[in-house]
Amino acid sequence: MSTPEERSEELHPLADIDQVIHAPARLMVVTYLYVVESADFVFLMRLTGLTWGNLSSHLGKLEKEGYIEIQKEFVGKKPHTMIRLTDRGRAAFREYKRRMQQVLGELPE
Amino acid sequence: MTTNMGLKEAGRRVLHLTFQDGLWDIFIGWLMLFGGIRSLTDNPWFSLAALGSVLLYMGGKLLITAPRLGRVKFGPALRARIGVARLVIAIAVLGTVFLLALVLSGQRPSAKVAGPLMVLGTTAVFLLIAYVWDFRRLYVYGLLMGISMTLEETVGDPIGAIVQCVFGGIALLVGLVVLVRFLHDYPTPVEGSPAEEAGDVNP
Repeated sequence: MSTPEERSEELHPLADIDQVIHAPARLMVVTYLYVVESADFVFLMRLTGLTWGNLSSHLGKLEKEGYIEIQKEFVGKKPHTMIRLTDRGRAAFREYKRRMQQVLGELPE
Repeated sequence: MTTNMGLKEAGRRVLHLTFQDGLWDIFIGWLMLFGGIRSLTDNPWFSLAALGSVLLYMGGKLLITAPRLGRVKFGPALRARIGVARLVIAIAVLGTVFLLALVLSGQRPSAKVAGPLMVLGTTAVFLLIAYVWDFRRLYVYGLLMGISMTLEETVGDPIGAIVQCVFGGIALLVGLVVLVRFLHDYPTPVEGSPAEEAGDVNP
């Protein structure tokens, strides 16, 4: 016998989709960060094709959620910012992937 | 599109972005061109010029690519792919050193064995790296290298060397075109731009 939570999940799998990750631009950022250890702002900008303002805003949301970590390091004497997915962010992405596969897998052909 | 396909594609795009500067093409083209000229002229200085391709590649990555593309530390899967390519290169270098050591010690390996071994080895190295990195132009360069080396072994110089120069020139030209496109598509973030102010523009 399934619990009410499980029944709710079965009935409304889309309702529990992580909206922070689900936005197309953020999904793109998180997907790329998932396959690398870390990347700087310029690399992410080149990879995603997002403008500085757009990327900055999405990174802000992901950081607020604790999904990414912004690390300051030095390249020579210049400060340099590297961005990486946190363990929480990786787990959230895996969960998002699982739920989306579940939702899409259950759709009729 | 499943998420797994998406992740594979993301990894491929990350790797491909780093090949868009044309430096690999220039490196191979330069190496083949000056290797060919060395065979034609028998002047050892051209061997040094051919080895200059390594400096050209490293300098280009540092001074041209990094400021425009930014920096990335690859994840375990991409690091493993790069590791396989490095292993292949290391085995090829060791094989070459071994053959060189045989020649220097007076134990010249039979030309019938050493020649085809070098041709097959070099071509296999290029094709294997092309496969591991999913870098399609490298397949073509591997085949061009194989053809020119086979000609050098069978027909001999100057035809083999001339063909090597022509193929090297083609690769160099392709590399320069790709580099010009890269410089156009990816300008250096200018001083005072938001990315620069954020401390993300590399020196």
